[in-house]
Amino acid sequence: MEIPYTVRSRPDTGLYNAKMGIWLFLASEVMLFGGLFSSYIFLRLKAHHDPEYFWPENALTVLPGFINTIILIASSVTVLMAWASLKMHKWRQFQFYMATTIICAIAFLCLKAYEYSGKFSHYGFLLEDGSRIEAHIHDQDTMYNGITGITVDPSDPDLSFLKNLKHGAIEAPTNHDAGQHGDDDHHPVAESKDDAKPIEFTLDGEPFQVTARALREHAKEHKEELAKQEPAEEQEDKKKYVVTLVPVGEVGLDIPSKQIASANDGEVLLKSGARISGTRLGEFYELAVDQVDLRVPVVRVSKDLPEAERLAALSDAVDNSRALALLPEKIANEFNQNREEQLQQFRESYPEHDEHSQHESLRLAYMMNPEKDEDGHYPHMTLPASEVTFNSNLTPKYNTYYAIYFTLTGLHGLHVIGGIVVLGYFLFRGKKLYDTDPERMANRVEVGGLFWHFVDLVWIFLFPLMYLL
Amino acid sequence: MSDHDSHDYSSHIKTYFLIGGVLLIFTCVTWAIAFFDLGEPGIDIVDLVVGLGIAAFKASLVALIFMHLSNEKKIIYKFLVFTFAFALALAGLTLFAELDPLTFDGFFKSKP
Repeated sequence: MEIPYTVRSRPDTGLYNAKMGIWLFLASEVMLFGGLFSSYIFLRLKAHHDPEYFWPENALTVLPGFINTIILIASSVTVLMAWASLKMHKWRQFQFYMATTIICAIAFLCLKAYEYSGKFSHYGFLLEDGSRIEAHIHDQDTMYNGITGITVDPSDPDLSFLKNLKHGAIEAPTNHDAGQHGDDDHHPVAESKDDAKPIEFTLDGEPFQVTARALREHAKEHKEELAKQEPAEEQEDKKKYVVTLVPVGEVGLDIPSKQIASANDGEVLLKSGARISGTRLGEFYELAVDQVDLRVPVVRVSKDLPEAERLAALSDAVDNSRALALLPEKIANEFNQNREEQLQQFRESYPEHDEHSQHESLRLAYMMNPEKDEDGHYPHMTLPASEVTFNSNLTPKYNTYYAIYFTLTGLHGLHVIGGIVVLGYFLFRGKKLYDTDPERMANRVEVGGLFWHFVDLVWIFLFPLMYLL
Repeated sequence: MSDHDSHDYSSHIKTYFLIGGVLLIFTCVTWAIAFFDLGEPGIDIVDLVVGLGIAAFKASLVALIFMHLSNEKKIIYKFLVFTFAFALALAGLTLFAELDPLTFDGFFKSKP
């Protein structure tokens, strides 16, 4: 069946059918995105109506969004050029411009993926008093003291955790000298210099040199002994043979949490199958801190206090906040210096405003991004898991902002993918139609282009809303 | 005919690149303006109106020139009138939520 009005206009509408169709589709898209945009604006404007629920400020780096805007505007021009090339019957030129458009679209998605992965790998920690620390997690360790026994299967021993054993009692890590050292000090341990001296073990009360080979030989001897006692076919004891190694003296253990299958205060079971008895000291995050946010403890200070008392109470709220207590001194000093500067600037810029009642002053004075060190790393800190009331990576679970961010940019990203599929089809499968009916091919590209311009148009609104406001 | 066509499109093409350039310039303007806090301290209606005003100007350039809406058939304008009426109604419905707020205790609020 011949499809009517693919080239000629329909007399009643004055349009070829596909154009009519794409405009109806775009009309529905306007309403879809319009609804989502108004949700965003609503959330953004009303976000500080709950004084304890803060909108993440400057959560996105502007540069990738800016580059993506330029990429999409450029691709809008090239898709127009692809259409004009077809109208002028220049197939090679059409191929060039259409390929450029698709490359732009792929570049856009790559930048978007880079941005998303940043959000997934970035964590926020809410502390007891409402202060927050945002950071990248380097390590998450659980520490045990006074190890009384390590139970392993000698026929298949995985001894990799042995290097985590330390002589003496492990002390809870502190942040006294954090921020100045290299990676070697990631696990602050009481007697780490003692590592050269191997830890001695006993097995069944006898001194035992622990190596994988010695354990396997032990297992073999045990098997032979069993076989001697009763014939193999009658052997009913199918239970795994395990041995318990007992360390000599006071020994502590520092286990990366991802190796742990289950743990309680007196025992830990590793994924490798080893079972270790000891006393749990606690779980600790090793972090690279990139934001400190004390806005919540500060808004909790009563507004009804007389001015002088209130300023003192505000200072106390900052000084006594959990985040500043736990952070290395260097960051805490940097934070206080930043706060003074920001408040001074605010007093000069907005003399008529009560500095502590304004969210802007809170954002500037009570949030801070620590400076990177010479190597470009954010300062390091150790955060006890017991201090954390809630943590999550920067996804919808963490804040409504990330919910609307991922919904809007995700939906837009799906449109970009759709555009790549459709425009790619024109580029790679369009020659046949172009040879038989070039006008119809040009119309198809025009309609695809209209969709692509709409994708650009949505981004033109997304960029200032998400990245700048 | 084809000669006439080619001439016609080359003038179009100039416009397209020109508008592309204008859009890039206004993208930079949007970014530059974000460094200044307009109106009251913090985000408020002034920041939103200025930010979205520039975005709306850029969007209208895309719609009018790139999407050829400056010179389109009447029926498409009819569609779009209804589209914007409904989009505004949807935005209005969302903002009406302020008149009938859900009461809640705040997210992640820890005990005092």
